[in-house]
Amino acid sequence: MHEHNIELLKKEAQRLVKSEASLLKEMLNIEGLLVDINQEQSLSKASAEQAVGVLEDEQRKLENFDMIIAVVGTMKAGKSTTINAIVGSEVLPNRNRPMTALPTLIRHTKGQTTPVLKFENNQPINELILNLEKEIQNQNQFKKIESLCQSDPDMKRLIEFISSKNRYENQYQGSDAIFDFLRGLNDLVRLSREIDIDFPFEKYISMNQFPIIEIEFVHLKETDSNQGRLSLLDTPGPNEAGQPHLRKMMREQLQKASAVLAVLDYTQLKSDADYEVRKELQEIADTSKNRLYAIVNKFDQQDRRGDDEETIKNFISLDLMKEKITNDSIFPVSSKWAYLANRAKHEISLKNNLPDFEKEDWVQDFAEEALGKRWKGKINDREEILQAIEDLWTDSRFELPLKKVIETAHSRAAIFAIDSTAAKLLNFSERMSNLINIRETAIKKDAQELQTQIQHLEKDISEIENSEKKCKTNISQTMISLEQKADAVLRNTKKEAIELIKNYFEEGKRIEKQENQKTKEELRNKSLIRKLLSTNKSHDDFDMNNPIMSFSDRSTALDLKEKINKSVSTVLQNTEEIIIKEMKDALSEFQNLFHQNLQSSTQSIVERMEKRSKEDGFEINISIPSLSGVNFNVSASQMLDDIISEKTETVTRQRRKSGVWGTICKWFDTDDWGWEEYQRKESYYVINIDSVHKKMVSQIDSVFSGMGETISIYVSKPLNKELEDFFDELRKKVEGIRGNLLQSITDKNLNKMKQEALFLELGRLRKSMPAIVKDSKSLKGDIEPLVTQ
Amino acid sequence: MPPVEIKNDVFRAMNFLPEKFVVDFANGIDVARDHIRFQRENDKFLMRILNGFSGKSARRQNEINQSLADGVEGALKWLTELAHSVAKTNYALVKVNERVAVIQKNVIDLAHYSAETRQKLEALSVQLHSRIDQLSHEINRIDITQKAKIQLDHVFDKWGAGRLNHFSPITKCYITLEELYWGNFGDLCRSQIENNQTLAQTMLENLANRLIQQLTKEADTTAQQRVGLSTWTNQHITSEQIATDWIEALNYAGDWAEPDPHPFVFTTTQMPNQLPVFLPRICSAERVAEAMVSEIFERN
Repeated sequence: MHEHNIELLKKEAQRLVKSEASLLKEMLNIEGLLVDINQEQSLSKASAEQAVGVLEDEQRKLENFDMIIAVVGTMKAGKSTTINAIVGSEVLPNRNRPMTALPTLIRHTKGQTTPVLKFENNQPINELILNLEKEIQNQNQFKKIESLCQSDPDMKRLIEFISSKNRYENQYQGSDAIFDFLRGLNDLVRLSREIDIDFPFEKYISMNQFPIIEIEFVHLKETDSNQGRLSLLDTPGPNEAGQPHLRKMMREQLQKASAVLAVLDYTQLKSDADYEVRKELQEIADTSKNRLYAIVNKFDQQDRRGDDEETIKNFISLDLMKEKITNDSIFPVSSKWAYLANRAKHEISLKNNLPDFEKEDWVQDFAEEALGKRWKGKINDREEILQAIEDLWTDSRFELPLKKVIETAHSRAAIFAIDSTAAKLLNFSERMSNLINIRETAIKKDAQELQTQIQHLEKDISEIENSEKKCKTNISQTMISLEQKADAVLRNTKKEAIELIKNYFEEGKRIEKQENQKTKEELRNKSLIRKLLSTNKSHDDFDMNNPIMSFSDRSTALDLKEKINKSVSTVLQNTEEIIIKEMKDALSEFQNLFHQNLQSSTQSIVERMEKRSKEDGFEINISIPSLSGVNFNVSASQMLDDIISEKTETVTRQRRKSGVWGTICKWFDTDDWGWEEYQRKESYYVINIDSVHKKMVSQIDSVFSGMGETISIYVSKPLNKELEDFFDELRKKVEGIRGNLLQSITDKNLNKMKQEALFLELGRLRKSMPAIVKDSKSLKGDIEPLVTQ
Repeated sequence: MPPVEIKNDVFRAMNFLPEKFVVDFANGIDVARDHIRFQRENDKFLMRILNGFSGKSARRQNEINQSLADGVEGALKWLTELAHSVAKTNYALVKVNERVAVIQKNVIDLAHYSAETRQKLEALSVQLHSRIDQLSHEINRIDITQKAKIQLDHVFDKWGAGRLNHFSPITKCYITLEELYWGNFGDLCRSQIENNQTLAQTMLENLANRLIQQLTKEADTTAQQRVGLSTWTNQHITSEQIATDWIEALNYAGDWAEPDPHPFVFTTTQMPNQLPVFLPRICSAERVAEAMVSEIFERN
């Protein structure tokens, strides 16, 4: 099934939803068919009613699904301008400071000409403000608050806002109010960082928790509203997200987004491509394959010496993105021109004229770009302006990337909506079919036969439970071996680090010895009295076994300390790489095996069950639940990030800059590392190698002590969850069939006429079941490969 | 509108139509109300068929109209003639015979029918019995299985040779299946359903396989490859008059189909503006073939 057939898949999904809903309603209308009993059945009255509701919901979602285009990029690259260009008005403030404290949705809403920001989830922020208010009044913070107020007018404004007991509302009308809100939010993040209060980021994780700006996108004004609901997701840029857990959250958002638009800066293309941005973009490309578009903004600033389009595309796709994005997904544009053109178009369509250029700065910007230096003479010529808008829009080269990214978002969102519907369709169709088939067959069987069937099924259920237990043991064994592997790597690391320290100790002792000899010679030339008066004992007893190394020269001591620092960092960096690699290999190998085992072991139980039932005249349908698969790939490096951040968050929040070794370096400086400085008559410097040794080992231990927990959070918990869901679903299906049989025994209490009537109704319904189950299965089969694409 | 001649393309492609017509004619005779449930406005096509069967002359035309106006009496006259000259298949004769038996019974119960009517019925019944006997004698002479196989090959050869080419694949499929249903293949199948359910099932499976082969050739797909419904339903009829005839013929042929239990046949023959909900919008050759076989051969 190709992408252009998505519309067809959608129609088929809608058709199946209608037919299943009508069958369910029919079933609900048949007297005595669906009942609520205290037994799991394939369908009860309540669950059938619920299923009808679910299907109606799916129908709505298929008609109007959410398309999310995540916009990523640095503030400097012009992310806000790009968003404003798509929207056609200045919906996001364009400031020099990063403005996205929280991810914000900008939603195309037909007829909404002035923007409105809705913030239903304002409670966590208001609670934070309450805490900040208390903290501001705290005497200990007084100095800090005062200096913040002096150095930063924005902070001053915010502190005043908080002190005067203001709170955030859940709605803001108009651009100015929205600007104030967003600025305030951003300042709030900074303030809570300054006075060390946690910003409630964890309360802003899913799309429905973010602030939403509703506004009509000028460009989409004329389009069909049945094409789904389009929103832009303004995300904190790679450098702006800051904390590791925020970055993790962002990555999840990007995975869910229907399309991703990365904004790069043409003028900074080579300098801006620092390690972090590069890495972030590559990671985005890994998770957003086939739905990532890159626009190279500020292409209007290209001069004669600049790179041409092809060179830029090649540079990005080959160098910057390591072939993770193809040339035809890269577009040099000018967001500024696009924004100005779109905004001018918007204003003219609303008011028939441009606003006064003396009152609104952007009009002058527009005129200069669109009409040239002598723009004042032309600004009142409507025809000229309209033509200039078109030309500026064309020159901005914005049309094509916009069209492509919306198309991709549309089909992606449709695929997700269809996939969700297909899973439900298959589930409901199987349940209906199992109920109808069993109840119909059972009417013509005697109670004894039904009891035998029930006993068989109970055996099947316990077999499924055994299988689950086996799989669980399998997981925990793997986890143990995974931890053992990681432990082995760690033991090696420690050994290596200790070895290193031994070497440095020897080097240090050598230096110490040289210094000692020098001092002895000096001493020989001094008077006896001064010799007697000398208190500096260590200089006299040089001892290879003494862990204390003392140096009279400060820089010698510092050099040695720096050397130890660097070497240990290298060792730790290697450890990180080894652990990541080992884990990745082990996990993907394990998951493959795990899925195979799971599917084949349950498949055989189910096949046996279906065959036996068929021989006994019962037609049952049980498809093996699908496995979502835990995505380990993204988490390997992320996992290690979290090991560190968890351990350091309480002590050195915000300090970590560049991975494990960065953190270690910090500890060298901030903690007592056996590095002491004595001030006596004569200054001398001491490194206690025992202390260094002990501290380092304990720090390595504490850094990686989170390992077990991390493996559990990232690997075994999700795996176990996946496993439990899988078996729950399977067990429920079989229990449902048992319930149908139990209910069939109750059917026997009906009088002959009622039984016959039920039999006829069931026979009629049964006829449509095989086709419905088959079509639902096929739809799921069609859509699944598109989801993972 | 001109009469639909029996030598018309429509009938050449759809041999089963006259058979169905005779059976419907018999079933339309309403003894209690003494009329034929035929002469409704929307049965124009049927009148055209009837005129086609009865020849061109205006005298005959008037004669028909007159006899039909005469109620059961006149209808019986025509039924006798149609059963003699038009009905060729065992199935049609059996069906007409069944109906005649019912009419005979009803006529006895109702006092106002003359002895002449009863005599006519008796004569018709005798005629039908003798035709059926003759056919079954023939069937005994030549193995019925052999005959069914010959018919099966014949209809698929007709399809393969391109005789149905201006139809959509699904219409070709429908016409082929109706031919088989009314003919020797259908007879065999029905007798097997009574005697040996599994054998009948095998016959229908083989039939579905032949259809799948033909359909995959038509659409250049594989048996399980899912394609949009339009791949199967797109028509190639160009001439308008032919189109009208065909549409009316198909409408008539599939007048038994209802949207829910027979979504494929209903869509193929009644061409509704809104497609039935049980009709898949994406389907494979296998899905089309299996559904068509079951809708046509398992209809009540």
